[in-house]
Amino acid sequence: MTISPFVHTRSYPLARRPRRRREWKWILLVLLVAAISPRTNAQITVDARSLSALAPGPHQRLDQQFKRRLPSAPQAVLNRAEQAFLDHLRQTSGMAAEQLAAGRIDEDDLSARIDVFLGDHPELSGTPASASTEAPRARVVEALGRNSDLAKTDAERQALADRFIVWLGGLSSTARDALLAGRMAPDELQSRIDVFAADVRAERSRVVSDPAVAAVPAIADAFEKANLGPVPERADSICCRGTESDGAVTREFVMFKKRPGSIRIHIIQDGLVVGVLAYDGATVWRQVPGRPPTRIVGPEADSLVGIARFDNLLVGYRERGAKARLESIPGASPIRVSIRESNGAEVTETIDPVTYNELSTGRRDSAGKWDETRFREYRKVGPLSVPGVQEHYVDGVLRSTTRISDVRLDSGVLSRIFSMPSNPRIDYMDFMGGLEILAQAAKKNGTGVQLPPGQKK
Amino acid sequence: MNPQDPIPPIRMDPAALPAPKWWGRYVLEGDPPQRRFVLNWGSIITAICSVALASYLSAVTALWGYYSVRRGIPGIRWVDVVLPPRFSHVQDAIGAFYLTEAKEAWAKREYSKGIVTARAAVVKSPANLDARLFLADCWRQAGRYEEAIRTLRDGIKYNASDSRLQIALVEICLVSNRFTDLLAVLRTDLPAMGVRLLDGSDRAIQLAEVRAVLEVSGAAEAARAAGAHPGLVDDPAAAPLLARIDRETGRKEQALEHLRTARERAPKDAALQDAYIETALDMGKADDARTASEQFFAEFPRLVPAQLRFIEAHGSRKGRDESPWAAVTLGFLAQHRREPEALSQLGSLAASKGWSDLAFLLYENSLEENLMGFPFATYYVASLVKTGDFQEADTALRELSIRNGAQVQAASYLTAMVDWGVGRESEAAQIIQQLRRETENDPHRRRTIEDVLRSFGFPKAADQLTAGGPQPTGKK
Repeated sequence: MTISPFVHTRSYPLARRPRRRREWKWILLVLLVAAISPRTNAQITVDARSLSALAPGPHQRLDQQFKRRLPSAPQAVLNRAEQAFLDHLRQTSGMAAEQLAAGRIDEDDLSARIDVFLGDHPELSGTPASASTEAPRARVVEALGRNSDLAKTDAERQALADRFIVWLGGLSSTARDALLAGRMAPDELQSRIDVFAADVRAERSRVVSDPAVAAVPAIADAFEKANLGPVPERADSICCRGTESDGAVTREFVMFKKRPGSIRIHIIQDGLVVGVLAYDGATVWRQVPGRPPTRIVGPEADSLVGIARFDNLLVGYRERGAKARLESIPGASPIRVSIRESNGAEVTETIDPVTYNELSTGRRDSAGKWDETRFREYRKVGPLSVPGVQEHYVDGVLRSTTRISDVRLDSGVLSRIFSMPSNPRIDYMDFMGGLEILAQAAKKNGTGVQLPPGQKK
Repeated sequence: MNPQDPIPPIRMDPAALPAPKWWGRYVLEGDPPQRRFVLNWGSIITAICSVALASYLSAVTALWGYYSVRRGIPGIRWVDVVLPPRFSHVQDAIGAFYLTEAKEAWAKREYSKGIVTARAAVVKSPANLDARLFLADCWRQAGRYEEAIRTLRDGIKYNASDSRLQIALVEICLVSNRFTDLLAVLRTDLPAMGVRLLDGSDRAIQLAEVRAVLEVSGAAEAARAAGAHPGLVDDPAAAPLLARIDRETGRKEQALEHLRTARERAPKDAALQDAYIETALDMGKADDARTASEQFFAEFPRLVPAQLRFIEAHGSRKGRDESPWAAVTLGFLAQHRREPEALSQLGSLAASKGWSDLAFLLYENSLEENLMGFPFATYYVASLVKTGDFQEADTALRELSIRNGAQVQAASYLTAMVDWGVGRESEAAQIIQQLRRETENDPHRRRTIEDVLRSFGFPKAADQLTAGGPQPTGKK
């Protein structure tokens, strides 16, 4: 796991850089799209024309499915639910919507999709999800038992269960949280597993001609197991404290990360936070003491977004559409895997074949130089393997060293800390500004409030 | 002997008896004389005693060697091991040795080993009060107040008259809000051993008893208990507690007057100033409270209660309060930035006043300083409840409950308030019923939760907690 907040941010994060107007506009556009798109997905619009436009045959099939699930619901409620389902299907899978309209959709497929949909939108069915305290992973393993063709042994089923939870998180973090909290109804779980199983079968049916590609899933599974622990126990947030040194200057920092991709970094000097950099999944912002927060764009923003990813790139690469292939000879040490993201970015991971710890991660930067981060001195914090030392090299020359001194998992991090402060009467950086003034006054006059001793931890 | 030699005749001489042994001999008795073996009991008993003594001394020496040499326990004398009446000295020495080891382990942060060894010290030497006090302190530091109180109460039969034990017991009961235990100790356990602290003139003990009665039986009983101690009513040190009793019996003006008089008599008493401001705020006398808090702060500028009362009395954060509030709050934060206990008190105040910006700042500070969001995340949620922002509070609680269920569960009354606020009254009622069951034998906790529910604007929930209330019904 990459922890260094400065791994891909080679300049001092608060240093001013010349801004490129065009890039700024693009980033703004991307950010706007990112901010708006989840809402459009979450919003269910009812368009009466679509349902009435459905041919009588498919309409009847749909009606039967919904009546079976909502036997006591009046026709108006059924119509509304069916309409919402149609809209949802059109938004998420155009092909399935077409198949339904043409009456070609498989009965099981339709049934599973309706179950999942009603599970996601209980307000349409009016049936609250029943609570379950069963261990989530065990529940998934048990539910996977019906798909004996996918996993024959318990170990295979457990690995598949872990993959299912990651897959579910990619689809809907709410659904994943509901599963992990034991709140997912058995019917909904089974439906989601049916959809997942269909995906896995489709994936396996594809002929993999390249053995270097076929070798990666096993490596990725072993990597996850060794470094992240069982899926239900994986941390949702992490806080860590450390220092980053370029040989001349050492900077102290505290960093907070939360799934799926939020980050906040405090840059500390003489015991005071002199800068905050954060990204909440939509907006990259920064704040200095005594000043209001400001949005940042451009390369600085890109760097922060780049390191906001919670898990290593290997985790869930299939689910997010990235391609990975084994670059080293099978059995050779270390293992080298290249991962190409859907946007074309390519990274090479080096992994220890015994411990499955990540040894380094490297990429070719825009100037053609080899940008590499090496990890060592691993230790376990809960289920997570954390490298104590991270070294950043450019073309083989050491540029900086990051040391992590303290790590905590799931210590009560709220999403709000990643969002840009919206005009509170007193905020954290006001406090830091006040402390700075008090410290200066105390230094100058020997009066005022003295800051506590031992500023540097 | 040659085989050809004639066999000698059997000697039939009755006088020819086998040679006597040290343990017995043959004798001839009767007519005709018969040979009989007679045991020499004196010699036998002497021999047995000698062997037993030698064995005992060997065993005792071995035991002494084991303790002194092999285990290196100091202070064990051979004669204490030899003489059974003196063996308690050996036990005491072993106890003292265990105590030293326990202290060393505790200092090295080997807490589990420290507690186990301290318990061994107490078992070996139950009258060793130092060991008992140390063990109780370990339990206290570990947050196991029940164990600490049990350890000290067990010591009453050995050290009832020792003031160190008495003070430790009263203090731990007060700190942990175990008022029923405190009354049992003062009224039953100690008197059973002939120690009647309540008959003495120790004001601290008398106040402790009145406080316990107030928490367990209510204000009316507490007033009677206070009246039973001559001169207590006139003691300024008793004024804050007596004022509280007056407030709880509805005599608020009398409470304030009582405190005002006491303040004049003891102007340097910080507890009196604190109680006066609290009472004035409770009565809505904002100007009185503001003036008194300014005096209190001027007198004790670095005292946490003085700072907190100043912040509270200027809590409107508007007009003439705005600037002093900000200045003192910033000063407080700067002074106590790395003191979680002081910051917790400010967090609690921020929650009760609905200052969600300050509560969130404290939460951010806790993350920065300790990489830990609790308990300030709870204060933040509570401040949102106080301001009526139930949706935001609900979102935050749900987020926390995914991975920090234990901490959220510990403040389940907060969940109940949020549920109630967003319209999930059925769920809220279930939590209240659960709290009611949990606090059945803990009136202080029940009263604290009741006060929180009332002060946060949930009187119906408070009524359900205290009176049982209606059973959970369907969703609203």
